[in-house]
Amino acid sequence: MEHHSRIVLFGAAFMVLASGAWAQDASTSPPEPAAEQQSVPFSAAGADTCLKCHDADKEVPVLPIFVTPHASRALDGSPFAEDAKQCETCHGASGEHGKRLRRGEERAPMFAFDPKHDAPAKIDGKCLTCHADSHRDDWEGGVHQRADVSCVACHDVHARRDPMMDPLAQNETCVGCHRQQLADIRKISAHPLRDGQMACNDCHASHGARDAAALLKRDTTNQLCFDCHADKRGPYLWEHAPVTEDCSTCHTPHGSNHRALLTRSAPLLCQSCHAQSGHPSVAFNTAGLPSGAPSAFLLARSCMNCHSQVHGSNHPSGSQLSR
Amino acid sequence: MNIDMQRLGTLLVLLGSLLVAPPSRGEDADAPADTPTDEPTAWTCSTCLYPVGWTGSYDVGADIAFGVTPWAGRYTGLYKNTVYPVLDANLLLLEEDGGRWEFIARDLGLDSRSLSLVHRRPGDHRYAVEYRAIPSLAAEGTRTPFAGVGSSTLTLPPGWVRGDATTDMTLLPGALQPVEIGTERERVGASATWFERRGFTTDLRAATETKRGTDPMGASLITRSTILPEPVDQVTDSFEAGLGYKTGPWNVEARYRLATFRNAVESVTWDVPFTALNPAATQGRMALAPDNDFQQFGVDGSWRGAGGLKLNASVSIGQGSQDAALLPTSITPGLAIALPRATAAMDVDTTLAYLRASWPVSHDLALRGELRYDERDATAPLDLFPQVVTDTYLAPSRSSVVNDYAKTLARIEGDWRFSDLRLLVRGQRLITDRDQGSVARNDEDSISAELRGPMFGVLEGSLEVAHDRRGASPFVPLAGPAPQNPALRYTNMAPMQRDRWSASISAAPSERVSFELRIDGRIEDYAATEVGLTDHDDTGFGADLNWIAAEDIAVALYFQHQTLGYQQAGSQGFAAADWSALSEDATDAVGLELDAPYLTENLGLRAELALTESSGQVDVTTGSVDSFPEVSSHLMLIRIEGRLRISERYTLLLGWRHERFDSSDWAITGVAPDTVPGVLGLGEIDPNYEMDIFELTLHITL
Repeated sequence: MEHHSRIVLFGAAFMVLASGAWAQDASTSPPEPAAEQQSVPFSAAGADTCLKCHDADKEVPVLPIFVTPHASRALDGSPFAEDAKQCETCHGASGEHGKRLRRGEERAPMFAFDPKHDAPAKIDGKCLTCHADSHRDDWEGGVHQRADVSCVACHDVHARRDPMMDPLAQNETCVGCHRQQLADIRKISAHPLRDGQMACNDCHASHGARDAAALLKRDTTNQLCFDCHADKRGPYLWEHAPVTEDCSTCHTPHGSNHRALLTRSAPLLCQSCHAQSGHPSVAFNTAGLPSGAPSAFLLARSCMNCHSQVHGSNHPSGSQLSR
Repeated sequence: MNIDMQRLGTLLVLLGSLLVAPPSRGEDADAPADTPTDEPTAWTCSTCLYPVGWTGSYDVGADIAFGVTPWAGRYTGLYKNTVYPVLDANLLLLEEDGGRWEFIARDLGLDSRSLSLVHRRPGDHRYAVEYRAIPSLAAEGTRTPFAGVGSSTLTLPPGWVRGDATTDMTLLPGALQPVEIGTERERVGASATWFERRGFTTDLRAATETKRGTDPMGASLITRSTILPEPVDQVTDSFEAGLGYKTGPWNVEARYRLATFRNAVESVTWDVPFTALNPAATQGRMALAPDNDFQQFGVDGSWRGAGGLKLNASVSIGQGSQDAALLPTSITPGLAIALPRATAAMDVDTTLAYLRASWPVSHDLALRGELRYDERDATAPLDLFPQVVTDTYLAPSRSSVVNDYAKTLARIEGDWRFSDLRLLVRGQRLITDRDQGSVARNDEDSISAELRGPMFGVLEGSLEVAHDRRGASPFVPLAGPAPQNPALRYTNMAPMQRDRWSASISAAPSERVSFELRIDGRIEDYAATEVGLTDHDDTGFGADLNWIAAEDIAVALYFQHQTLGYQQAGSQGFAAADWSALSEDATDAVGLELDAPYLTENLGLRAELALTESSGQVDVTTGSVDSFPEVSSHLMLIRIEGRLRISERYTLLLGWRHERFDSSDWAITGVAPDTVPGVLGLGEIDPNYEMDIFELTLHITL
């Protein structure tokens, strides 16, 4: 493909998108918080009403929210900004919930962001009222949205620091549902997720991505892998075709019973695709183990004892990926 | 790839026509349906804290380690039985105007340490600098006779006695020295974001990451090989810029990314320890990963229309290049043949375009559709390169080959809700075209249906079934001096049919108890493959039980099992299949967690017991079945953490972590550097350890 044609196409697409955007009336004011149904009144005194009960108690510890942006008086757009509805910006008008009860009267419910009682779409809608930026632009249609995973299933806005901001706590949250990944990261070969040296969101965009199924942060699997493994990116003089197409042809991302996150160990993995004249697909057996006649095709790095440059070679004599 | 050009053009026209459609005005999907009439005009809050100044906490203490091994600390640096300082911090400086400084430090006493300093004023800006280091040990117990580890030249001891086999190398036993095979990454990054200024959001990010150390690398001379400690001294730099604009129903972002990779070691030269077929081949030389650059421009956009219609679109083009100077054909005297060009001169263009529409047709029905186009288009002079096989002899020249592909995906999905049930139906077609290689085209069709909803009044259930079918254009075996067996089919390109299913049930019989049972599986059938992978299956099942045992005491119990099976066939005679192999991996993970943050007013407790067992079995059948020893790894983890609150400001953290890890892999078990006559190895050993770490830390709140 000629590069200038691609640039023209790119430019055309850009203009289409940009012209649409610029055609709109600019509006920089933050969105108004959603209000509740007309029939429910607001509380008498806002947060002062709420904090009479919801103070430092351990059942609903809300006070740490005051060190977070969600309860900043000085920030425009904060639920606690001047003229904002404080707690009721998010929880909705809660006058009924907060009123003094008569003997035997049950306290009226409020919108508590409780996935047991509140629809995920309603919870998400509250959050997205303010947080619908480009990083959450692919939320609709993503696997989490389709599976009714709401924002509060992972995030805690009342905490001093949202656990999802800490790599270890984030990983523990994710594997709370993704149990197979929990088992994977404890295998002998795994990315360093178990103790939080890496976080799930180093690779995944949990709020939605152009790859709607795997929620990858980059456009393709390979582009994502090359972020940290740029030495594999090439292009190489001698390429290994499956490497250029999809790293996951040979590797599994979360954990493996085999070294280097390989889906299987060599030589069988390599023999899935290689059976050449002069270097046939030999059935290596246990006779090649140390107790027998130790085989160079089987032990140590197996096929990679010789074909070490499986990700590509830049040596002029490297067509067999051995240099 | 003219056909790809047409396809891309079609996609863009479609994309453009949808996006230029006039947005409906006066309708906002987010607008509330009802507005209260008695909204307060002004609330003051006398009980709100609104703190200003320093807040946060820091941890000071010690980890005392017993029984650790290099593998136990492969990602942390907890290598030795000693005392490691605990230095963590989570400090905030809150400013009057809502701005905030955030300083996070983690594991400063370990090699896996991280620091970040952020100043942000949400809605206005965010500035951050970050540092992160991660060690990574690749193998344990490794030894090598080579000197110069870490450099580009690996030399054998003076007077080295070469041999045809490792047992003939009489100086080897005395020359072996411990060598660490592992790397350390250090990443420094900075970013700045300015939010929604006149509708624009600007985002700048830059990072540099160094990776230094050694990796294991096989280096062969015909039928003899040496596993070398490959020197690693690499730097990856990246820069990203984004300019977003948001107004009304539109959200548009233009972005640019540049990533460069620089390798300080272009090649490694080593003394050949074996007796070479070519007496002049006393050294070998391996090319290491070349410097490369990648840059990408992209525009993303979304538009929210009437009735909740949402369109997302993205177009990005990228270019990768690599023009490293090429090494001579061989380091062996007399085998340095003139090259057709001096540098690699490789370029790759990438194109990705996608369009996704999400349309809630009604309260009960939502439709989603997606088009995606992903192309890799490589360009390089197709020259004939003389081939010196492993620095030993001259072989016929080979033409360099580049790999192109174009993948086009179309997906449509319906999401129906009727009564309490939800039905998701999805259809998808993926077409992969290739300019080179044995399979020019794959077509993969998928269809799936998922039903979710309440069952029998108390249960929530889901059931998903799916079927995929991949077709392939005729297989063209690679020709040349070593042709591929025509009976072979490449796993990732072979015709294949796949059935997938998953099911789960969950329930919360009381406010205190909930559970989930789940099962999933898939079976892949490569019916057209005679040599290669013929069958693959993946079965998993698991269970979760959550129990609120008492106020502030939560107990969780989980179990997960997975079995992966692969059946393949091979041909030893370059003809029909004459052997088969079955490899099967199984993993079981079980865990018990207890979380009691307020066991008493001042005491919190958290405990975990986790067991993970993985095993791998390989059976090779050539008339009779030959079973390999089991590949296995077992991890037992016990962790108990206590929080004893001493005062408003001080909390004592007490922890005990016990880990026992056993593993065995026949590829390395009992394989010393000289075990394989034709391979001078590193003598890697199976990782096994039983460690205890005691933590005593003071958590100080500001």
